[in-house]
Amino acid sequence: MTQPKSFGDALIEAIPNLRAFAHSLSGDGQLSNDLVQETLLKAWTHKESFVPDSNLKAWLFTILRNTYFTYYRKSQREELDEDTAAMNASVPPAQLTHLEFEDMQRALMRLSADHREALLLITAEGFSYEDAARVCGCAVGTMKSRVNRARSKLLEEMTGQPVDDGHREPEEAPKSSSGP
Amino acid sequence: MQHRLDTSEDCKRADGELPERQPEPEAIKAPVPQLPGFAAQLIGQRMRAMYETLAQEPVPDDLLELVRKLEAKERPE
Repeated sequence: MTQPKSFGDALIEAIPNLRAFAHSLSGDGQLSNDLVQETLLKAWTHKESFVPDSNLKAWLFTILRNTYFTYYRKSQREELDEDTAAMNASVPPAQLTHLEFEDMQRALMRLSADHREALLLITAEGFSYEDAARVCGCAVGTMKSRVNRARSKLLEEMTGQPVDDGHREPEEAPKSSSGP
Repeated sequence: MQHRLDTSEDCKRADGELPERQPEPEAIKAPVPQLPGFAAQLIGQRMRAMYETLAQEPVPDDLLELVRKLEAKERPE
């Protein structure tokens, strides 16, 4: 007899992607496990507020990114910077050479946090623009423009060449993400 | 990091409607740049390769145990 999948089973199924998202968003393998742990606890505690048959993964990602940005804002005073990524650089990569893998992580960490999460949700995780916008609490159009900008920036970071996309970035005031 | 369970804030907004918000300045300040297709593709491939590598790491036991313990606590004897 097959048991219907429990909420716990669904959580466990989501863990690998939650960890990948947490790690690439925070650039820190240690921190990412803490973030996932906290996400699981919060999801469990608030499971009544999850609408059955809606997108559990999107819900969990929302909790995770909100948890991260709460933490991020706190730790900004303590200068959490891209070096954290390098110090906690992770895992021997499967398809990328180690250097390519580290380059990618480093380049990602040099993006603003909202550009980084946009790219991760859309390009890496494969969320629809609608789901990604819901996760980040922004408009769909904002999500689309973030992804495009993030791609250009990332390419610049990786090649060291300015990307001529016909768009000049205005002097950007250091602005924290659009967190909750 | 401490586990805080008081932050129901973080669980809000999921699956609700999109929040009514003013368009953010970045959305309206300039035309959205478009990379040539091959460049966007390259970025996509690299990103996914990195992401998959991370997702394939073995899940630490304590995360699995956490969920199992939470389940067990609720299971009626």
